[in-house]
Amino acid sequence: MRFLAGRLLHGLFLLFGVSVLSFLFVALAPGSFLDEMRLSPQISPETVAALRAQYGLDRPLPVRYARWVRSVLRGELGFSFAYNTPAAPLLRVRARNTLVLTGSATLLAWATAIPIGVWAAARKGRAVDQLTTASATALLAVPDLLLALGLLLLAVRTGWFPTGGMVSLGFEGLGFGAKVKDAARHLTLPVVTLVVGTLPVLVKHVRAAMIEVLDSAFLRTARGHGIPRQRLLFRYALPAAANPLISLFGFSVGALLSTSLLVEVVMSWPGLGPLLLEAILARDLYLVIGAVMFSTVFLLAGNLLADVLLYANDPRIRTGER
Amino acid sequence: MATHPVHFDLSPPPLHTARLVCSLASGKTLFLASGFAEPQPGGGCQLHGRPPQAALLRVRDLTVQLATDTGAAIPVVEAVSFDIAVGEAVGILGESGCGKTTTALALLRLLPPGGKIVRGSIEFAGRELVTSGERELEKIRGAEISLIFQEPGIALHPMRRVGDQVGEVIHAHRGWNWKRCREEAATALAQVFSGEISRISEAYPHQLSGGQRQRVLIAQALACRPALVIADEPTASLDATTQAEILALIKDLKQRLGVALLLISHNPAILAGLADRILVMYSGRVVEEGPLERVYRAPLHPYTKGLLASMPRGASESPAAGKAKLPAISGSPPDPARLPPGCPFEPRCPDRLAICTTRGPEEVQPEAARRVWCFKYGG
Amino acid sequence: MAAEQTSPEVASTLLRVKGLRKFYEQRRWLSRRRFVVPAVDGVDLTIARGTTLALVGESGSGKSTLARCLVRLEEPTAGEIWYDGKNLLLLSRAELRPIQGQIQLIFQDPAAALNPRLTALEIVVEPLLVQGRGTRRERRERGLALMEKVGLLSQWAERPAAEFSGGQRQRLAIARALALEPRLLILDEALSALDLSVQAQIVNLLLELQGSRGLTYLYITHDLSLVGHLADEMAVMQRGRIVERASARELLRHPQHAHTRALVAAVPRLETLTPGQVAP
Repeated sequence: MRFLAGRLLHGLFLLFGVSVLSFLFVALAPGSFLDEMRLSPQISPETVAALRAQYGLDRPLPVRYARWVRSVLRGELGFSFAYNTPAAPLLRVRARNTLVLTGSATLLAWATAIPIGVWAAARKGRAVDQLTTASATALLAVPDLLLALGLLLLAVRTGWFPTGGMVSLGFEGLGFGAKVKDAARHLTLPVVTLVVGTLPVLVKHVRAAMIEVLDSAFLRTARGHGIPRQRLLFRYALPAAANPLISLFGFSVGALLSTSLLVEVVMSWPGLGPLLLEAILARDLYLVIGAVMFSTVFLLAGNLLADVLLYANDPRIRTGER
Repeated sequence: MATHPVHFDLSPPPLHTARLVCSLASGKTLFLASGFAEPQPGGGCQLHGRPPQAALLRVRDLTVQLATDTGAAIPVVEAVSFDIAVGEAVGILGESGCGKTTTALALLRLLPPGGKIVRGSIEFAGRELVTSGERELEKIRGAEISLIFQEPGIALHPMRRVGDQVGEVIHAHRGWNWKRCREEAATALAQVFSGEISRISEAYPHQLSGGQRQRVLIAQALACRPALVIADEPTASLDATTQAEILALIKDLKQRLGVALLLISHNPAILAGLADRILVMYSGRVVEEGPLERVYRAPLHPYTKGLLASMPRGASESPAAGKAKLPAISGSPPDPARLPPGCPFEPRCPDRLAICTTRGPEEVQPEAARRVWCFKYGG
Repeated sequence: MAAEQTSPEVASTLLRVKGLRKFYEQRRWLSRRRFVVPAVDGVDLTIARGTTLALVGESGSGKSTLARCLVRLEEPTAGEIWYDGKNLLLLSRAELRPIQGQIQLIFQDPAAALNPRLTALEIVVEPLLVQGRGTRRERRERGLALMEKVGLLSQWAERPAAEFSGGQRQRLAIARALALEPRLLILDEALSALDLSVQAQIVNLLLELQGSRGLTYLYITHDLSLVGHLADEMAVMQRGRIVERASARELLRHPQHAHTRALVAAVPRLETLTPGQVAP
């Protein structure tokens, strides 16, 4: 429990730090939301100045930061100039969508990587293993963007998958089963892109961790006791190999999040990615910060999960190894 | 002593599939016809219709080669033959590189990848182990023949409770439900620990001392009442007092359970009091065999003589005043990749003859129940 | 406290340890509690020149920690270490330098103690290199002479350490230790990992070196079997303290303290049929 409290505290500090940094970066970036308006001859400078005051853009930075923090505590998460509404509802929806995408991709990626990695490690040096390693290396070299565009091309040419969006028109009117099917079809391409992008790294790590464990004394002993092969691999070797993999899981969440922002933009998935891009281009300050904060929260949650899993998996960490 | 890291190859040999199909097809009939020894709970192992003096394990001409990184095959065990009778304790005495660990691994077909049995037969309770498939071997390992490795410190799974690990072995061979396996595991642990075992059973390996871990390994090895237990340097890396405790435990268990024992060690004193017969190995070959007392009191082979002479004697045993040199065998064991054509011990042998460089000596029986491989006695 | 001591009786003592203490502290994060682990808890020792003291104890008795304190691999928490009449703990780094070469440590695991990639000769001359002694050629000559002294053929000089057996590596470690002409060799379980016949060879080598060079040995072990052959004096350590100390012969034949008796009884003997029973 003390352990968990420690990690949470750590996370909160991190969030605070990220908020300050992102605030600084965006606020100090050249230009502001009102620049476009300023350029327009129809709007008078006085209007612009009045708008500035109204949005609080003329106040010094610390004051603006404090006001933003208060807005967060109120649940509004700041104000979007472009959409002219509090940022929270916008962010929440988009964050949910990103979570759906990233969550599914993470699950699928690991669910695929583990069996493949274990299988390759068990047959180390043989044809199957060499093939796996070679394909993994090859895939690693393919940029995510290329992958995304390639799949989009596939979608356009064959019409098997929709080329964008999360749901079709008329989604509301569909029955439950049809809704699920529709959502799944839309989810497929972005998830596949993400999974294929991270899979090589995961497989290589799983394989490497397993190979190291397969050499160890306790596995030899277990084999000497006649424990059947399948059980040896998954109930003995995998948990012992899990420690570095769990740490990797924390990393992979972060990596997947960054990639997902890109993939969302390319594949028109209505997540935080497109929102963030739009907001940056429009200098919509609070929306940008809000999106960054949500991403950070996901990242921290993923890492916290990894910490908890590590704690649960390895009794030596729990009881404090002598 | 450095041991070579044993690599682990989990891939099934290609013959496996065919055998699997056959054994599935004939199912239970094959199972019974193969003469499986049925372990009885609460007692030693009983073999179907075999007289107790019959050989439990019969090894003939076992020859093992290991492949090096360059691909060359090195002979590690050469033409080893011995028997172990039901309930008998046999010791293998030898130093690093003599092939004793490899022999033990070969008996259960646990050789590292690159290790091959090129010749010989290993007959256990009527079955030929050299040609057995992986499935049959899995059934034998842990249930009929158990192996206790060196290095108790790392031989247990670091993330699982010790009681569960013993239970796993039982589960693998008996197929009972987990509750029953745990109860049986508790019984197995009670055999090796005195006092309250629930605390031990719930502990993780890193919470136990070296001696306690070794006891757990012994409990694991005995959990399914095997007929033969192979113990490879069971007291390596243990303190002196713990060593004595473990040896006493092994002796006690052997007497109570009537299990056959193959004890491997580099220290003659460890085998004394435990083994009835010993084999002395040098450079992959057996050089002498006989009843332990006889071999120790009147060693025949020059290597055995030299080894026993170089044993340190506590001050209470040596009449001379304290500090004194030990009679040592000069030189070092030969490199298995570059063996001379004659007897491998010849370069270091104080009793060498001209014939010793020409070829390896044959087996000679200078007395009843004793064998030696040395030209001094014929061969 | 003077940094030097001179008196006739002291002159024959090479090493004198007084009241040595080494405590380890463990502290949990955000907690007030401190766990203090006394590894060495008030140890007094003397070793006379040219003799061997066996320090015997089980794992956890603190003997290895003591050895490390003697060569300053660990800093003692309290106590004094007098070497050749000088208080080691009061000397500055500069004053310590010439003395450092005189006390050498040989470890249990010959594989871990040597860099497997270096050649035998490189390993043996490394201390000379570090202390900047002699020219390259002089170092090479000395290295070869040392190798020969410990029974290693000079044609193996260019072989990487990884190709040597355990016994040969231990010889290399001894040769390396001899490079700086030490007076005191601390053998920390140096023989425990060796085969019997190799052990006998190394024991003979050590005895011979002691005779020809007047070396002093501190032999640390948990296994009493070799103590009779190597040691003049013996001290038994338990939980950081010395519980008994006498001449080796005396202690082995007539152990008084319970722990010593247990250690003596634990040595597996050939003659007795039951390990664990003291021979009558």
